[in-house]
Amino acid sequence: MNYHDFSLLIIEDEDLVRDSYVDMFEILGFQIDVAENGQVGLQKIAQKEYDIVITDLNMPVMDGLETLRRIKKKNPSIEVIVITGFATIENAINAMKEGAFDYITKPISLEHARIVLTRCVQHINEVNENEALRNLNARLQHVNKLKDKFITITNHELRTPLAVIKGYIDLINISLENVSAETDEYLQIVNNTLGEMIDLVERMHNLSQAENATERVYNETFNMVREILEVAGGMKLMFLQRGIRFSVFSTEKEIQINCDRNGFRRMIRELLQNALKFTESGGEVKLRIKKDKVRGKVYIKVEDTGVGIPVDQLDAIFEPFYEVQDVMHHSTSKTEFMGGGIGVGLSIVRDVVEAAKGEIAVESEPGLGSVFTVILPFVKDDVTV
Amino acid sequence: MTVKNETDNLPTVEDYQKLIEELRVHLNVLNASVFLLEEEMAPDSTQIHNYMSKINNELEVIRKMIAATPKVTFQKN
Repeated sequence: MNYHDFSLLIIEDEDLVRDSYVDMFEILGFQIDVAENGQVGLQKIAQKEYDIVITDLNMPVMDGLETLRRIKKKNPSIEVIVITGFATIENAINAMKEGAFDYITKPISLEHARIVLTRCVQHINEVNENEALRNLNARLQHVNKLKDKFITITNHELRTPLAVIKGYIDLINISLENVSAETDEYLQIVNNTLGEMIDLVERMHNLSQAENATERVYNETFNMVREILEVAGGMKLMFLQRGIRFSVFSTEKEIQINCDRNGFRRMIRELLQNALKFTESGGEVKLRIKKDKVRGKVYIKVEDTGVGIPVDQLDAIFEPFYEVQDVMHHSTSKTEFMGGGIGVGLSIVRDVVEAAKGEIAVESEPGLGSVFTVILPFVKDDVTV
Repeated sequence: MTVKNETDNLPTVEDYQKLIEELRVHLNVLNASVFLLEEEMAPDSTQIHNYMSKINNELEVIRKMIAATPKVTFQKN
């Protein structure tokens, strides 16, 4: 049993006896302080946190029983062990009724003290563990409550009014003639802000979906090259606007895989969006598809020349709410590409890959770029599609 | 003595709170920009006036919804 983390206060009026207790309990490894009577002991407790107090019962100024009562009144979590002679065991029993953990009889034997203190430390550990579990439970309940609220907001409530506002802003845009520079600027801000809110809501919704990914998976066999080309085609314009070269390479025109098609498309979109977001204008993003017939796997690599990921953060990037770093240095990120977002994209990718029984790897060098590789099993040609 | 927290890898209350805050910030910007837009346009057409009125109604719906989101009252361990 490790006693080093526990602080112990010894209250004993006789100097020599007190010193002997210190020697004894130091052998066990406690952090020890001393006080010569109950009053001094209470002052020390007011200044420092103690786990255990060992006090003599018969002391001048303030006796052990009164000291015990006052400790328990102010600091009920401190465990108190009383020391008493054989002749006054009845007092020790009274002390236990007042909340003492146990008593040790004089003369103290190291073995007896060790047994009592070991039980006391075990009791404190149990109390702390229970407390930690209670906190954990309360915290999980609270997080769950907020999550439920989020799901309600994103699924049912927030999307509609945002879409309605967007619709009316579009109508105003169409209806207005001779728009002044100011009006145009405000309309632009309203449009941008609406776009950001819609993106944010979408991502919050994705997080709630990702947590239940395995329940919603609908597996089917499809040509993954075609799906990738479709997703990439939709995103090509965004790369162009951003001044980033974007290309897709594939060794095959058709590779059949079996997994959730929508999840797969979302995974590709998130990987490309991630590359887009963290790559500076003038950079390059490549998506490569390679079929390894020997291993029965297909490799999808998304390579960028972006900001990269520090080595110590590589393990964390697939966790929800994680974002490598802010992207404020990208002039267009904030408004157009969900910069400063909530960092759920890669956690969604991980969930989709796991649901498809695949693997994902990332290599990165800060300042030079990153390569995300998704490895999925493909459906062999002799299998009827 | 400290007890190790075993939920350090889970999304925390603070993480969710940050997202709500992000929504609140965007909503504030939206409110302000719609207000300025309305002032600037000084709508002389009934149609635009109606559009703005409907936008403001929807904004009020969002405001109430976000305001009703539970506030966090305890700290991360």
